[in-house]
Amino acid sequence: MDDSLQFNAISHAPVAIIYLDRSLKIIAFSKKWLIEAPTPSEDIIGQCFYDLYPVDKEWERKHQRILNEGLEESKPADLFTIDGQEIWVKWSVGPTRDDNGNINGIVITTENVTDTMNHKVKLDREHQLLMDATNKAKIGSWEVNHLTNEVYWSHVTRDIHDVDDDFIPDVTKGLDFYKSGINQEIVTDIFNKSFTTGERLEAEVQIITANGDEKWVHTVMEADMKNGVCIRQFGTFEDITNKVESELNYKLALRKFHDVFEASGVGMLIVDPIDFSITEANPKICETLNYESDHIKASSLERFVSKVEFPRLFNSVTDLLNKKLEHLEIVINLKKSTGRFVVCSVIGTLIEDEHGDPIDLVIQVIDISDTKKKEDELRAFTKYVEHQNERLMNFAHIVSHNLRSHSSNFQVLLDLYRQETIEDERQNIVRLLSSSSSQLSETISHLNEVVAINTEKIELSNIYLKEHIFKVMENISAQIKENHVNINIEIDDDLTVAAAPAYLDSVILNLLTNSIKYRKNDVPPIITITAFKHDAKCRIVYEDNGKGIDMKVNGHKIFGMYKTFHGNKDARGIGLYMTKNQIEAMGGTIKVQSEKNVGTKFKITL
Amino acid sequence: MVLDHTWIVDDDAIFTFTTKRLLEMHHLTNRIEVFPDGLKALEKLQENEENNLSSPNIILLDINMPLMDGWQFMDEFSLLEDKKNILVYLVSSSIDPRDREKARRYKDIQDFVVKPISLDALIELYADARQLTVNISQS
Repeated sequence: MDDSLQFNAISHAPVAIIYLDRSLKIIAFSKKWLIEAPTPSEDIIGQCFYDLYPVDKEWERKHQRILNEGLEESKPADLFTIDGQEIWVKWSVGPTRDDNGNINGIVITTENVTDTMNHKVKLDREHQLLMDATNKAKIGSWEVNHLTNEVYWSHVTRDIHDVDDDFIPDVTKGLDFYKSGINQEIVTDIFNKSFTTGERLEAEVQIITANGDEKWVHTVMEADMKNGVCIRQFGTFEDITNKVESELNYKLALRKFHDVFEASGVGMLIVDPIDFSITEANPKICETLNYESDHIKASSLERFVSKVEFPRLFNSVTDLLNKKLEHLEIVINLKKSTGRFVVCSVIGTLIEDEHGDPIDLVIQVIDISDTKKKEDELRAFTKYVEHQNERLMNFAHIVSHNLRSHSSNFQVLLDLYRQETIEDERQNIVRLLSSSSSQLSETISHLNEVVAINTEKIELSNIYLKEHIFKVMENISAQIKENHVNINIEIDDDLTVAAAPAYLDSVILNLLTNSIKYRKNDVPPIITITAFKHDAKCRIVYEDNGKGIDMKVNGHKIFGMYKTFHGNKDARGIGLYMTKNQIEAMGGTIKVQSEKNVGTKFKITL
Repeated sequence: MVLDHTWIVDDDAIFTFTTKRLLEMHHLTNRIEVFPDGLKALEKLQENEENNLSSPNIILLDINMPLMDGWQFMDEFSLLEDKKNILVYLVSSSIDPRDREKARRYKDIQDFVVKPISLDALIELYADARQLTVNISQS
């Protein structure tokens, strides 16, 4: 063949090809070569290959081996870096021979396989990812080839069955793994059905693994049909034990909650924490609020809370939603169907979904009205006992003081009597002894009176106050007349007061005689008594224009025993002490306001 | 040394009589004045102060009295300029610990004596007062 024709043919070859002579000078090349391995000039014939394409020593030795020994070298893909770009090249280098079979040069062919290689790498990577995914997802696969009777189980499928890679599966063995009874029946059934109809079928069933463990699996089967005959069945096989168990646990927990909710002795509500609509109400809360469950469920919680208190509840729930509170804990009045309020302790817990968003507010309601009432009673009783104790203590000191002062007087008088030699003085001492003795008797009778007031059970009856005051006034009409006392009584005729008549007498008498005794000398005495009902109690206001008492100095002593303030000879310091005791014995209170030289005002509540 | 001038401030006539008599019989003091309540005693003290008259050396003061009790008297007494040479002894039938505690808070009260006050106790009280007077006049 003509050389030029031959070289022309080479030039148009669809691959990159270059011919070198023994001295590695270029003698021919294809146009493709210049595309794959560009050079500054296209006129490269006769140039040394190494001048155009510098190669390392390794390659030079390779070329010499080819020229000397006629060996050929090729590689399906090799990574080269050309102009900073990584390219995959399929190449081969071999000897050319003359007609006599002697090696007369080298031929190099190359093919850029970068695209192919990149594609392959991508596919490999995707395959690996898929494998990883199925392994991680624990989804196995299987296949039954009905033409070859071969059965294939993937690694994961084997794992799920607790068998290793040596295990040789077949259809019977496969079906035997299913728990006998209903499970085996279901799987056999769908396997046969898929075989005959080619339908895609699935089931969630239990298997017993080679290790004897019970597992829930999700098996999906499909079939390849050819001319109405199944040639292949295949599918996936997934371990869903955890999922099924958590579902079962969830159902169990839900049932338990429901049972507790229905049977609880504590009132319970499930409320939407955002709009307060009630979604569930248990029998106990229906009992507490005295409503049908359907009625409660159709309402908002707001309906059962007093208007005044709802903002407090609302704020607490807001705090709960904002995580400022861990639990809702509040004492609040809930409205019953009767319209009455019942004091309840309300405890709320927020139920959140898996994202932490609130779904339900579970509210527990305990009717604490009885406890509250008892607590209040106890508190009142404690206060009463404390008060009584204090009075008793004060009384004990009064008794001790008053009795001691007399006894010490006796003692000293007797001592003195023994020492005294003057007969007149001795007579004087005897006189004092007898006066001290009568004072002691008087003191003892006062103390007896006080004890009687505080210990004797008194009967309260409803007394017409105005009429009663008039009766007392009659008894001291002489005094009133003599001192020109002007008494104004501004009380309704039918006003009654719950009191013990004798005590009421004593109180009125004492106040009136005090007013007369401590009247101002220059002004005619005026006494005003008014009374009215207030909160089912009777309030009496008694006012005079007498000498008054300096409240700053003596205010705390007014109702004390044996306290006198005006230096009157006949003052015993017992009247107001008795008055206060009598009023308190009737369950009332007495308060005083007074101003020196203006007058005194008593406020009595009975 | 005799504490020349004694005041007894007490509304209990028997106490004032017996105490006065005991003091006289045993010559514990030369002059005794009796006041039935704190107010009258205070007024006299203030009057003496204004007229530069001599004040008592010792006051035996009761707590429970009409018009002005022992405490109220002491509140006013502590404001007097001339109080330095007057020794006040509280003499009361009260055995209420609250009263004893309260007396301790008044630095012008020398002591709290519980009635009945025997002759021995009176002699001791005056001995104590004499000692204090000596200390005061020396300081």
